[in-house]
Amino acid sequence: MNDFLEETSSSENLMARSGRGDTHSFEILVRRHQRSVLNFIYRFTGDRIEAEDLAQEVFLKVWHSAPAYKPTAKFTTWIYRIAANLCINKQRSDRIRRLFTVPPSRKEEEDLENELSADHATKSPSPEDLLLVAERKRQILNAIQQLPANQRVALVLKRYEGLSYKEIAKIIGCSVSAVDSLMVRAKRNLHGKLVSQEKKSQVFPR
Amino acid sequence: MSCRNIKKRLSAYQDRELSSDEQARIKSHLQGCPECSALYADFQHTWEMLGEVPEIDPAQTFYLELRKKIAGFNDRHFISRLRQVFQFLPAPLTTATLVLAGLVIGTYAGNFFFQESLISHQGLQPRFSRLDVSLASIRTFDPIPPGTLAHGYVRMASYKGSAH
Ligand SMILES: [Zn+2]
Repeated sequence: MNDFLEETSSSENLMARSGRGDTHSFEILVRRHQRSVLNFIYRFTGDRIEAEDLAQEVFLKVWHSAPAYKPTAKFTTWIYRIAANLCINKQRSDRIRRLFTVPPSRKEEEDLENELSADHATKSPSPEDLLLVAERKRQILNAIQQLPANQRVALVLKRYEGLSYKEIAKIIGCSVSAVDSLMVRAKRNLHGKLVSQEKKSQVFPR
Repeated sequence: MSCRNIKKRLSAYQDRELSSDEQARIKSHLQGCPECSALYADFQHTWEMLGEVPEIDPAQTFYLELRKKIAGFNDRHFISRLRQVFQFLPAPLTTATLVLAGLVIGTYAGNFFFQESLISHQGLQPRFSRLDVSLASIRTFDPIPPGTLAHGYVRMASYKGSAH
């Protein structure tokens, strides 16, 4: 198969070829979608390493369901649905596990410390600024993490992936008006959380 | 449109999800209504803050690692299929099955080579059928062939026995 043809063929076509065991088509498919899948999960979980693991799991699922794949929906809709389900299931199992292990706040603190020291290690001009940026980023990610799962899926797909309400509705499996109200609630929740964090830490001058 | 209705639609307005008529109507309302435009400013502020979370890059080895996992999955899948086959048999039975299979295969292989050597020794015309050879090999089968370790042990044991 001509490389140019492969690069320009639709994801649905690449998927059909992957289903027949064509690893070259599968590789193009992975490279085409790895960034958006990874970042969707990163914004959902707030954890870079976990995002890499889950993104791998998404594409593992894609590979194994390729032989039975029927292009009834857009490929991106389908793959985001897999990613969202994986994220929600992972969160559920994590919550159950946390009941029996150390409180989660400790891990988050460690993450922040690691991130801050990593930023220091790059020896950029102003450590204070970097500290502020890193903490701000962490607080925004934390605020997203506190949203209920469906609100979070809708918000991340809209804000970072730029999908329409119609596409988000297909991914979540609800109506367009339901997505609308998810978005309203997500934005109100987020605003409340970010403003209260602003007041608490004074990290967010307005 | 009332402020209450506008506020309900502000999020969709921000996301450009309304018809162009509605987008225009809300835009002109916001210009004349401080309360609604304050709420909209909050939405905008939140939206901008979300933009401060940067995109991350996939690892260079993302695809390679994936291929490894796929290969690993296949291996594990094969082993688990094997386990599925044997899970209904208790361990001693599984061992007995494997030993029996080994004996049968070994006997067949042995017969085959034994007969082949007979054929080559006696020219093109084999004097014995395969069945004859099999029966002969069973009749002449010595459980303790002379010169083996087992034979020596049996001799030792019988010597001790006769000494009593
Ligand atoms: Zn108003």
